[in-house]
Amino acid sequence: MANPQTLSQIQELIEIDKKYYLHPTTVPKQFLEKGPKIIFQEGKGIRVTDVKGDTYIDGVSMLWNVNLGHGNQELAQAAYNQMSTIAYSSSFYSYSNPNAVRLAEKVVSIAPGDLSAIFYTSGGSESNDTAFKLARFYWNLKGRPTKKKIISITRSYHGATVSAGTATGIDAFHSFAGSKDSDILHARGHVTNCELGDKTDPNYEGCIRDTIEKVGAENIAAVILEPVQGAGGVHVSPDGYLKAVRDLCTANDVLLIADEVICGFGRTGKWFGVENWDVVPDIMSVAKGITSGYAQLGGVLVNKEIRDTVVEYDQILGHGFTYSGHPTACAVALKNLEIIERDHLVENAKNMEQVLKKGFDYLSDKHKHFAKPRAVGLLAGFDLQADPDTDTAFEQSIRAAAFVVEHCFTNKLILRAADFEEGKNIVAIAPPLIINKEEVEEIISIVDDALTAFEKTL
Amino acid sequence: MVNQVQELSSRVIEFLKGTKKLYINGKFVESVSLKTFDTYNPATGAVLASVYEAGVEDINQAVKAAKDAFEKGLWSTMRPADRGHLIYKLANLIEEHKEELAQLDCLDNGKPINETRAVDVPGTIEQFRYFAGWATKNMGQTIPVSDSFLNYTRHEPVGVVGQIIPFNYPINMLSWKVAPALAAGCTIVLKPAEQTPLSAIYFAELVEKAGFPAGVVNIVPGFGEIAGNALVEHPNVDKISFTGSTVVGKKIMKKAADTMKRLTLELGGKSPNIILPDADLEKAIPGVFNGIMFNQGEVCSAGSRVYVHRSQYDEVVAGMVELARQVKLGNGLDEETTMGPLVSKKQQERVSEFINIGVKEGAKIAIGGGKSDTGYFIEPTIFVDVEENMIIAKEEIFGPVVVVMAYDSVEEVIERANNSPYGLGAGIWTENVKTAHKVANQIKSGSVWINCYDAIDPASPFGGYKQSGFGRDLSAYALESYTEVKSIWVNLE
Repeated sequence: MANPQTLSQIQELIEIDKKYYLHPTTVPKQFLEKGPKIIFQEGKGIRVTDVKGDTYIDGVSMLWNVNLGHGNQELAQAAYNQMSTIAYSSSFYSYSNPNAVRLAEKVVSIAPGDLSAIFYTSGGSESNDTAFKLARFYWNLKGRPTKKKIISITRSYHGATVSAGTATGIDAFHSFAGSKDSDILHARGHVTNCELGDKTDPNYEGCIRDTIEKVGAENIAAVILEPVQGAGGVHVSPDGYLKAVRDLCTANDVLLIADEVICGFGRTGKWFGVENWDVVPDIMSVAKGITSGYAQLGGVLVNKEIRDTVVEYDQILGHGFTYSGHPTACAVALKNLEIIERDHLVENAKNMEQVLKKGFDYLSDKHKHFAKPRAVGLLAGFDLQADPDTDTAFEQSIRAAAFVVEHCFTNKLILRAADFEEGKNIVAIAPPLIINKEEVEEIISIVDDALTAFEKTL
Repeated sequence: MVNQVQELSSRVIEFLKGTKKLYINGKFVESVSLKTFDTYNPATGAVLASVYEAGVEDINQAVKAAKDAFEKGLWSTMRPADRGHLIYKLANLIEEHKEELAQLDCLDNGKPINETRAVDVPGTIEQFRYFAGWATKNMGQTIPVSDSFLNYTRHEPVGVVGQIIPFNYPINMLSWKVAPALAAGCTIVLKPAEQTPLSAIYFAELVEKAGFPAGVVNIVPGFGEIAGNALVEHPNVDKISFTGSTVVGKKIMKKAADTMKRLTLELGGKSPNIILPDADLEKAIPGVFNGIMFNQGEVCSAGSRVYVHRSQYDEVVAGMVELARQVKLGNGLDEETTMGPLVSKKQQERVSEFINIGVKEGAKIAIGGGKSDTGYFIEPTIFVDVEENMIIAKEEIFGPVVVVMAYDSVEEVIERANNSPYGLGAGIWTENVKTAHKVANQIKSGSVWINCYDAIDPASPFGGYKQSGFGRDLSAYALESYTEVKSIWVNLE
């Protein structure tokens, strides 16, 4: 175990950090005043330790990605072995490497339906950008070049690159610096009835079906959605919704892109999120859990029709990343998937979902502001509301989710608040898939204390 | 609503101060985690008291104390007569403190003080007195197997008993569980409902005062998912006695299988209350009305399905509506109040949701249906034009909501009465003694009340058929459920 750093070393780190390091998804001014909230030094299992020597439960697997937990020596060894053999080789110009090949075969074998081939990226944003490009490229090849527009839904998060950021339904990301892809449209999400065609529904206007009708299917390449929305606040697709959208897309010759960046590789208690509703997308973006965050890797899977169409293209495919098919990242991914299978971690996520739900029942009995608990596998969350029975939000001045998350942090549990939307106070929980019953109960206990403390502030 | 609220006793005021503690191994202790929870006055929604919350560690300590007391303490070798004396002494102490207990249950549960004074607390005292007598009478048998052997049975206590009780009759349900277990010689870890823990904690003080050895009775307020679950999973708990919902009862039954615990489960109901054509309506109408509305309908055996012959339907409904009009909703501490609030906001919402479902299903509200904004009140609600297959006619609502349904023949009404997954109670109203007995024999439920409803006595068993659970509370049958039978053989040759 690494020794805690001395106070002066820590102070030095903080000062240098403030001076040279522009942090992603951080409030810069606040950072300048307060410096880093935590400086991670090491991790083991579901826990991480900071430079001061304080140990925290990582209740959100960092950014929903460290699915095998921290400090996994097998993954480290896989990376070491590959790096000391050949760390990197290119996949451009028909070059290849064994790990990328084997991983492609493996991922296709576990992917649902007829998803048949993978294009590698280095992360989720790149995957979704690639998914949009491949969708448009496919329609070009099919002689339907007007099909360019992508529809995404409210509260979605698809990444931070220009197109993925535009597709994201969270304002701060959507409009950052004015960078936008004008071929991306936003539709009202999770209105199953409307997608089934009920035009009398008051929410019909702006739903996916309405958007397709107004813009014309001939102009639309694809619909993208997350089976369970993550950063938007852990919003679970209502039953029947994914199938309704799937049918709508099929009927209109629109591709369905499942953004499985968070959901994929066991997070939801199935290999992929869409499997919870037995829906097969045409294109599937993956990242995060493919390596449990131990190396940067993403990918886009395409169905047989798209694969067979693309492979007939006789010029250079003008898309690719330096790290597409990175041999070390692919080695880590292969080992990661092997461990998930060997240790039955998808099943564990499903089992721990039950423990988590039981804990939610307890919190629901005890705390009157605890609302809308949900968990699909280990992708979970809850709302805090002034009155859950009447669906009444707290006033804007009461930052319930932020308070609870901060209180948990003080008690050494890292969670995540989603309170960017007015009136929404959501807390997300998504621990590593290796978590056990006692550890889930520990999380519930800390959340319980935070809720008790929050109630005392009212 | 009525507003004249009587003053609390100074002992109750004193008791409500500070964070209430767990009672483990003869000591009042904080919870290991120092976690607490609040209990609310349902008439106002205000916090009544703060209570230390039992977690897994506390349950472990309580079970250890109970096991030690069962196996090696004074209790384990105490003469049954002395055990009986102790239980009797406890009954006397409860009597001495009956007003405090009546007030605490009124405050914590919301029910009218007149009822806690007249029913809950006197019933509790009777339970303990009745079972005090049983301590010396749990006799085995000598069995004539052969001349060369002596064979006899001993009735031994099952051991450490986990008891999980509901919110609807806090101190009274406690007595149903604790009294027979003590008489049999068991030791106890009891978890009161999280909505109504106060009278159980007060009771713990009386246990202490009575002089029970440490660890014989442990009181651990907390929540089902944590404390209740820990009790059910604990390998050193020999039996669970639970009164509550069928949903939770099923979970307990599954979980208890792992350690092969003995079980008594007294669960939900959707009990039929049948007015036969020859009934005396002057008695039957108030009978069926009180059969559902007593205790705000928060009674597991509440007669929530009323069956009336088509020829008398309008008359009975009119009579019930008139009685509903006379109900005085209000703070339970007001002696004028005849119906208090439901126990919690959650319960109020749940019942209100059922009322909405009933309306959506097409049933009509003859009276009631409303809920209060302050306090957790629901008006006494009578549904008419109800179909047998509606949700409100099938599911337990646990509130002052009744469905009144018409029937055409006695055979038909028996079939419909039995057409439920539940079988806890049933009422029959008739002036014909032959019909009464014939119908009673055909009803599949643990209790049948003829020309009365919810009559209870410590000496008469209470429990369910079908998904209303199994095992019996009260009476010698309850004692039996806390007893293991050991057969001993002596070779005489």
